[in-house]
Formats: sequence, structure tokens, C-alpha cells
Amino acid sequence: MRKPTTICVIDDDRMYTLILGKQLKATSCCDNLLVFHHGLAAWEYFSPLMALAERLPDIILLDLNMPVMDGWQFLDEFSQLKPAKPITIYIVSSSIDPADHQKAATYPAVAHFYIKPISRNDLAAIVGT
Amino acid sequence: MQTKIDLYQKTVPLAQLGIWEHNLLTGELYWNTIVRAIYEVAADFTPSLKQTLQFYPDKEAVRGLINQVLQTHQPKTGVFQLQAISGRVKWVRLRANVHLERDVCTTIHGTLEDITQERASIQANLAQEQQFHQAFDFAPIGMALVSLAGNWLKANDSLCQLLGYTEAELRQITFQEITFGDDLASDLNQMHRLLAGTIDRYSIEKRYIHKRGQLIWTLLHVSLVRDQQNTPLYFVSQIKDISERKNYIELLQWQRQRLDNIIQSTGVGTWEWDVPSDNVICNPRASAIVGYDPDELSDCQMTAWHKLIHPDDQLANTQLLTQCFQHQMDFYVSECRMRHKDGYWIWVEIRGKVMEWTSSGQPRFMLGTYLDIHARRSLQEEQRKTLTVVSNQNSRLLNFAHIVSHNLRSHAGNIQMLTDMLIQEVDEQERQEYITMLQLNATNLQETLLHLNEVINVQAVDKRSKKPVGLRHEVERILTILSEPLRQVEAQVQTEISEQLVVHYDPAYLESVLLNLVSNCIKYRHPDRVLSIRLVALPVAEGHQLQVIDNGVGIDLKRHGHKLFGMYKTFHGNADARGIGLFLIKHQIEAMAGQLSVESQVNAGTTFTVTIQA
Repeated sequence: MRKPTTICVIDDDRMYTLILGKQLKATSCCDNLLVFHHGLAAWEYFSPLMALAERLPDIILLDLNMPVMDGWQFLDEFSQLKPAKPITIYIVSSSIDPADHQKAATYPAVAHFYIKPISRNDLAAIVGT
Repeated sequence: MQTKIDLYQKTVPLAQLGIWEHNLLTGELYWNTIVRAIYEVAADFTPSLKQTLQFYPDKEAVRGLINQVLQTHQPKTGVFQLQAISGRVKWVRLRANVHLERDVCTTIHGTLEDITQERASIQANLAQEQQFHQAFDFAPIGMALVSLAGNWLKANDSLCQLLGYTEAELRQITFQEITFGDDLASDLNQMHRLLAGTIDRYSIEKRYIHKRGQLIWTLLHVSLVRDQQNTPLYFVSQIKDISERKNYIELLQWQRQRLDNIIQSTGVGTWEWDVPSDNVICNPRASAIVGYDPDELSDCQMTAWHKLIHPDDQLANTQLLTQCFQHQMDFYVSECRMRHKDGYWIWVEIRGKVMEWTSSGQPRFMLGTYLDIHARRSLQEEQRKTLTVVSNQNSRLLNFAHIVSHNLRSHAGNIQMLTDMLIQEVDEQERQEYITMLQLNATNLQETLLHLNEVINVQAVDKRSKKPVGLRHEVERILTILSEPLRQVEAQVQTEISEQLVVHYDPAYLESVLLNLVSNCIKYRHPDRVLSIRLVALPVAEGHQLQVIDNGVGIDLKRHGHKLFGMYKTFHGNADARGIGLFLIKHQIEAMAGQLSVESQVNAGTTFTVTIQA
């Protein structure tokens, strides 16, 4: 019996979040999907819940270029927090700018950098099936 | 008769004339006192003919003269040496004649004169003459006696060798004939002054024509010999060969001329600096570089030159000079701006080298150049500016390429995911939903492409699209266009722009910039207060500044400043429209060689500043 998995998607591309939601549903590995359209919304949602492990996501799929609070700012803010359980962060971005990839490598919390579109196999690898 | 004898007796001692008479019939010999004084005998001494001859070392010569007179009956004069009683040797002139009575000689008589002193001076003269001839003949320089008319009377070996003629040949010609034409007048002129007694001697440099035709440079000294009556007799000329010296001088002058030509043709200004006194000598070109006449700067102090250097270049120049003075560098090379007389700055390269040091190692004398490098520096400056423009353009293009890639990839990724799911999906209702989403995606892609197209158009525009535009008029026109939304929010708009202000701008860009900035004010107004907008134009160094100041929500620049003008994902139907608008107008402003900057405080308001190049 596997643990129920909560996945959080932070991306301002509404079309993408919609499609991703459908894909995740198809893999039937995601019990809970949280979608935010900029970093600040996600941060405001999570920061009061850090002590409540069951309310926190297991995986965050983070976009970089977003209004209000972008992926980098979110990473900076989030690394200040102490979540009650390990959260794996993946960057999923359209950016092919080498500078972005180099910068991502400097964040220990980032497990991997995926360039969009994210494939079914990539998703399967992320959710561990 | 008596008086005649008296006169005779008075004058004879005056002339110191010895008188003698020998009676051939009686054998009696008479001497007057002068004769006795010459022989140095006593007054009572009774002379005899035989004894008389004893006084003369050359008795035969004296006897010979006497015999000749006796035989020929003609008077005769001879000069003889005699030794007086005291042993002193004297020179005497002896005259003798005979007295005849019926063709028979009765007496022989004559005079005796002491000419020792006269002889001595003649001897001395002879010796001097001898010496003169030796000096003349064997002198290492050319010497000649020249007649008043210019004929060579006598020439020594040195002169003959110098001119290539023998002495005999020279005597056939005048000095005028072998003097180089250009030099004759000055020689004759001096010669006439010498003859007139205006000068005692003269020296000139002149050219003679050698027998073989070549010119010979000489230094000529001429003096004039006159007789006792001061009548000119002849010239004494000394002629020294100075061809070698002259050739060196000519060579030096030629080289100097060549150097001058080179300096002149390269346009290099030269300076010579006596460091302890600070005195500087410059060539005319040096002064001309900074716009001065040669006499204004040619002899002045180095301090005056250094004062012409631009204040910003003074320190570097002084440091370079000091390094040279402290032996850290052999040469001093400095590029600096110098103030032209007309007030503008001109780029000059200064080079220098210390040529002489004092014993304590201080610079004593320095040589150097000034070179006008204004054209080169201006070109470099121009190239640097061009490079900056090109680099900026390049980095904008690269940025743009990333943006294009990013935005197109977002849509492409979505389409790929949707088609992937469409293929896998069996449920017809789900498939319909995917197709609808695909259509939506296609629309979004189209919109993105339109935006990108707009950006490309901005990049493609060049400066030729600039037109004079009345800024105040243009602002009012935009405010009219936006009058409806402005009225809806009851905005207060204040315009502080002169009616006369005309800027050179692409009219479409100006409209775009103003529309965007004013629309933003409306979009990001503060919900709790009435929107107030101020449009202000200020003169600045580059031209003008247009400020759009609002009292809206403001922007957290610390957080968002870096991406404020970026082209972020704003094409996906979300509410944030600032991205493309600011991105576009920033490019438009930069295409007009201006800048867009922002100052803002959260909850207080935002000021956008546009610089407009004059």
C-alpha cells in the first residue's frame, strides 16, 4: 500500500496546468493536486502549514518565469522554511537559457531541471511508478 | 774765397766726412781729424801710406781701387772693412780721385766715411728678407704677392698645389680670372676698401676655380704693402684651403634640411626642454597643433604647456613624466587632451626622452615631440560608441532569441502534450475537450507571434523615422484618446510641458510610449485614493526627460525590478499586461537612443522617466 502522494504545480501557464492535471490524473499516482499561478500564492498557502506534514506536498513542479513572484524568488523564500517532511522540488520550465540551468544547479533543494514539454516518462519517474 | 774755405771747414765735421790727400811728388800724406778718429790714432800721429794699408784686412782690394784711380784718372768708391787701432772692426766707404797737372798726376785725394751702422741695418734687412722668403716659400698655406691690378707676382708651392697651376702659369693670369663668379664682387669690394685705406686687411671665404675646373673653398687673408711714401705697392695674400670644412658644413646643412623636411612632412611638433630652468624651445608645428602662432609659444616655459592639458589627464601625464624622471622608463609617452587656442580639446600624443642627467641623477635636458592624434582618438571613440551600440543590440537580440524560444516552446509543449493525450484518450467527450484546448492554444500561439512581430519591427526601425514633434501637443492628444478610462476613475491629470518644446521622435513610438505609461497609471492605481498623474518635461544634458508620475500602488523594485521590462509569460490570458507593454516601449525608447528608467515605492506611487535625445 503506497502512501498517498500530494503534487503541487506552480506555473502561470493555465493551459499547461490544465493539461498537466489531466496527465497526472491519467497516471493515477497523484492523490492530491495543488495548482498555483505564481510563487507568492504558493508561498502564502504553504508557509503557515510547515508543521503539518499531512497538508504539505511531496513534490513541487516549479516554473521559473512567473509574474508577482518567480521561481527563483520562491526558491529563495522556500529554503528559509523548515517543512515537517521532505519535499522534492523539480523545475519544469521552457527556458533553454544556459544561465538558468547553471543557476538551478546552485540550489540543493532542486532535484532536477526539466525542459517543457514534460513527457509521460518524465512524469512517471517523478511520481515514482 | 776765404768764406768758401770757412764754410768747408764748418760743414766737414758736421758730415763726419774724413778727408785725406797724398802728394805723389813729395810723398806727403794728409788726414783730417775725422780720418784720425776713424782709425782711432792720436792727433800727433804722422801717417804713412804703408801704415794706412795695415788698417785694412783686404789690403789688395784697397790697393786695387787706388791703382785703378791712378791709371784711369777716374774717381772711384769702395766699401771696405777696417780694423782700428783699438781692434774694433768698422765698415768704411772710401772715395778716391786724382789731381792732374799737364796730364801728370800730382796728388791723389779722397774721403773716408764710417758706415758701420748703415751696414749693420742693411745686414739685418737682408736677414729679415731671407726669413720672409723662407716663410713664404715653405708655408703650409698658400701665399702670394699680388699686384694692384690683380696679377699674381709670386706664389708659393702650397698655393700652386691648391689651385693646380705652376707659378709661371699663375703669373700669366689675374686672381679675378680664377675666382668663382659669385664671390668676385665681395672680394673686389674689400680690395678697394683696403686700397682706399679704410681697412688694414681683410678676410673672406671665397671659392677659386681649380685648373681642372672644380671649385675650392678657401679662407683668404689680404694685407697691403705700401712704401715709405704710403703708396700702395702690392698685396700679400694668404689662402687657406677650407673645402673639407665647407663640405662638412654643407653636408650638415643638407642633413639638417632633410631632417626638417621629414619633421615637417610628418606634422610632428618638437620640443627641447631645459628642465632646471623650465625653458622650452619648440618648432612652429608644436604651437600650430594647439592653434598658436610660433612666437606665442616658441620660447616659453614647460609649465605653460602643461597648463594646456585637460584637468582629467593632468594626473596621468604627471605620473608618466615622473616615472621617466625616476629612471623607471626610458621614454615618456602620454596621450592627453590639450586646450586649443579656440577653446576646444584636441587629443595629442606627447613623447619625450631625457637626453642629459645631472650628476645627482636629476633630468637636465629632455627632447620630445607633440603629435596630433585627434582624428585617431575620435575614430577610436566613435568605434567604441559603435561597439557599445552593437553590443547592446547583440545582447538585446540574444535576450530576444531566448524570449522567442521560451514563448514558442511553451505553446509547442502544450500542443505536444495535448496531441499525445488525444492519441491515448478513448473517451469521446474527453477528446472533444482536448481539441477545444488545442484550438485555444493555437490562438494563443498566434497572439504571441503577433507580439514578437511587433518587437521585431521595433528593432528594425532606424533613426530616419525621427520627425519633429510638439511634445505638449502629443501628450494632450494621448490624454484625449484615454479620456474615457481617465474619466471613469476620475483621474486628475497635470501636464507640465512647455508649448514650445519640440522633440525629434518617431511619432508612432511616442504615441506607444505615452499610451502605455498613462494606461499603466490607470491599471495600477491605488484602490483607496483618487488617481493623480503628472506629466513633466525637464531639460537634461542629453536633451530632455519626460516623467510620468502617479500615486498608484507602486512596484516592489527590489523584488521585481530586474524583470520589470522583460517579456515574460503574459500572453496566456492572465491579468498582468505590464510585461509586453513595458518591454515594447523600452525597445522603442532605446531605438530612439534614449533610456527608460523607473523609481517607485510600494503604496506611494511610481515615476517612469524617458530620456529623449536632443
